[in-house]
Amino acid sequence: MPIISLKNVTHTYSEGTPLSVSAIKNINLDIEAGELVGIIGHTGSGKSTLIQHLNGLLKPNEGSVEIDGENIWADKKKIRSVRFKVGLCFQYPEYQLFEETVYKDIAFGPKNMGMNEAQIKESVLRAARYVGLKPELINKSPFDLSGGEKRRAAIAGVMAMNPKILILDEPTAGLDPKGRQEILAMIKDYKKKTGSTVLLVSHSMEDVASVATKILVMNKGEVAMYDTVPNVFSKADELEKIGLNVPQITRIFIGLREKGLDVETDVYTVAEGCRRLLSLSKGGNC
Amino acid sequence: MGKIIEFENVSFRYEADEEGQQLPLAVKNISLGIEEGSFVAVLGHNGSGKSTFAKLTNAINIPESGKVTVNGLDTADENNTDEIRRTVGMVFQNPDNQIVATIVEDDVAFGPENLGVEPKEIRRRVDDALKAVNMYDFRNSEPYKLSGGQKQRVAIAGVIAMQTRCIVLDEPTAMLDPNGRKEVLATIKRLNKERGITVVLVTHFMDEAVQADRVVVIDNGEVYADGTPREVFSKADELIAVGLDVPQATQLAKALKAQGVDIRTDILNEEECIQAVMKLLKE
Amino acid sequence: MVRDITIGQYYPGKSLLHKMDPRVKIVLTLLFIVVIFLCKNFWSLGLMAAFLFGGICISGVPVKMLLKSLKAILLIVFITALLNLFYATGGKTLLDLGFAKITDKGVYTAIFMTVRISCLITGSSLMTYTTTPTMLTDAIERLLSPLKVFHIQVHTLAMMMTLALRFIPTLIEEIDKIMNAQKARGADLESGNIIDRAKALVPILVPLFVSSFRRAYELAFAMECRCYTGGNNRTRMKQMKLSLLDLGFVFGAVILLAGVILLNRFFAHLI
Repeated sequence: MPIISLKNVTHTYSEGTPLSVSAIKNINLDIEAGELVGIIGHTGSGKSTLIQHLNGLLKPNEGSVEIDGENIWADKKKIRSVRFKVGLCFQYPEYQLFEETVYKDIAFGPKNMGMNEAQIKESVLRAARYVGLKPELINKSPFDLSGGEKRRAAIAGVMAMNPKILILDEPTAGLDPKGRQEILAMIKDYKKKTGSTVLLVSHSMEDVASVATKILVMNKGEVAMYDTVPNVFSKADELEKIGLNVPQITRIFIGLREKGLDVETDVYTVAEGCRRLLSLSKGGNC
Repeated sequence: MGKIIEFENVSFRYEADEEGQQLPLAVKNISLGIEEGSFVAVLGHNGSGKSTFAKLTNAINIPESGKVTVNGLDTADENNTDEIRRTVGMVFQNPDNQIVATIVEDDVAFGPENLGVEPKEIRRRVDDALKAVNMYDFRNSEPYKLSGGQKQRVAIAGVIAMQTRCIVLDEPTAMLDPNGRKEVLATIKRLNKERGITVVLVTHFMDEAVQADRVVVIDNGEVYADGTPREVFSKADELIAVGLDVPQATQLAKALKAQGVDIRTDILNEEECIQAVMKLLKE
Repeated sequence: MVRDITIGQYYPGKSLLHKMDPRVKIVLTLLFIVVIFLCKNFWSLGLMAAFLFGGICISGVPVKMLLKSLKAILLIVFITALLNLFYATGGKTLLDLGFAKITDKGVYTAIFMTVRISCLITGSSLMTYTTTPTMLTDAIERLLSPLKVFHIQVHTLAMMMTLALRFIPTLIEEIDKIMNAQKARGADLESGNIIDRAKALVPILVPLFVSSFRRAYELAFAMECRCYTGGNNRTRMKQMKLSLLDLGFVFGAVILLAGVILLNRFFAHLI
């Protein structure tokens, strides 16, 4: 049984007014537990609308959202409990920090869940470990942290709710290459340690390719592709047609194929590219 | 051509924090000149001192020691400040926090208005600047309805309308999506080519730096590397060591070379890489 | 979506009212309000209403939108009418409720007051419908500029108004984002007593203040970089020039004023 199941989900903003904008249309999607799904698409492709449906921040105009086999809107009063099961961390999450100490801020979610002190402490410290926050920072004011540390503290605030599904919207936005690598490695590590399902929204195909097990491509409010990483990249030319930025290494292989070379385009890491080219020259194709 | 901005042994540190502890130098002993009409990328990771460097160019930051001159004028002399900011315009990271007016064209007019330019001349400059960044059709729009890339282009138009000879952009694309980044980069490249405006682009995206005439890598407040993109990016390992990226095309060439393949390693973009690989396979 | 919000209530158009110099528009609107209070009977008030109706026709602003602005003050209109209905003295008694009497004068006064307030609100909203907030702040700055003599920082005030207008949509968007982020962490904003609800605002207000200060700081830098040094020696791209059109409107206003005075004299006063 899939952990997330969307059936005919449609959402229209300002419905019934002349300003109505259809954000997602008739989405059917099943995501299995334990996947690390990269969600890719332009601004306005419906990515953000989609993920806000998964934790009940938005209600579909049509269709149903099922988490763990249960329709999350079956009982409106229980919608808050869905948010603990499906942790959603927004873009630039450091702008949500508000408490006096990092500890208290991370504890905000667990407290809202009604955990007792001992459970809260355990969750907070565990989340801080997941994101690699140094123990001496825990009792500092979140506003005294560096940019990267703030980002980590904010992500820990969502992880501390021990969600079965963790959704991260552009967790690497605004970070430099090293910071990006660290956050991605942290997410991969979190998934390995907890076994939870992780959804990662990103503009960067490189980022997604390096960590995800599956890729969901959104285009104009619809699911354009949902498949394993190699399968999605084998249609790299289609991705380019949608106007998505495929990694440079993939573009090189698209270019080589256009020059008449017999290569596949499902290459998305430099190491893989190197291996393919070497086997090509050894295979005596030239 | 002459140098429009010159740094001579410049060091700078921010004011002490609340406990009165002296902060370390953010910029250490930098000496370099920016040629008029060039497109220079300043590359560095977050906290490397590259933003501090940018703010030294137009008298927001004044050197602790050493000297910064813009068009021969010392930035430390307050009497020069207006003239310096008229010469070197600045565009910041967050597009929202630099637009002051509720209508696009009013915002572009803000700079010239501050300079006391004649109303008719302002109108002419505003129209010209908006056309230069392809935002003329949006002149009567409200800024909050624009995309991030469009807002940044409005901010750039605001600088052009002041007829600055040099634009310093402090991570203008860090908060934009890929399309916004492309728009902004295409705009500044065009301004540099067509109008000869000197561009200093502070960034941590190597794919943007690749397109410049010259790349200055700043690490730990010091100039770590300085040269053409080809020279700088061929030192891939060193760049990665200071927390930066190199183009995948360059990485691929390096990886092939390490496997004993005879390929040039000063490759910058995919076209060059494709050519090199094709050549290799033909031989 | 937040993108749909509009600040003020400008209705885009190219009518004569839209083209009128905003300074003249503000002065005439103020004059209109004063004259409305000079009206003493239905004849003069009727003249005002007729002019207003003419203005609405010229402006091209849909009557529906003007009615919407009336809806907001419906309660005030209703209470005023009710008070006048019962408190007006004299005239023929129409209905005796024992504790209060309704007289024909009361009925007339109630109707008069309702029409007067409606004209007042419609007249001033007609101005805001045909003038952008930016033009309004500009016009106010220029109208108040003589106050500089008294060392009042008119330019600074106007700049503050402009920046407020500029940042209101940005802040609304920001509040929306922060609320969603905290809701995703299980924040409960909808239930509990007043104290609980006030407490629930802390996770929203603190980040909002922090980011507003950051914005203000960055904005100040950006303005400095664009050579902003306050109002001195500044020029403006958009000049406000009085045109024949404005003269025409002023002329019309004078006729209206004369008409009201005449009608007040020749017909019996109601109040």
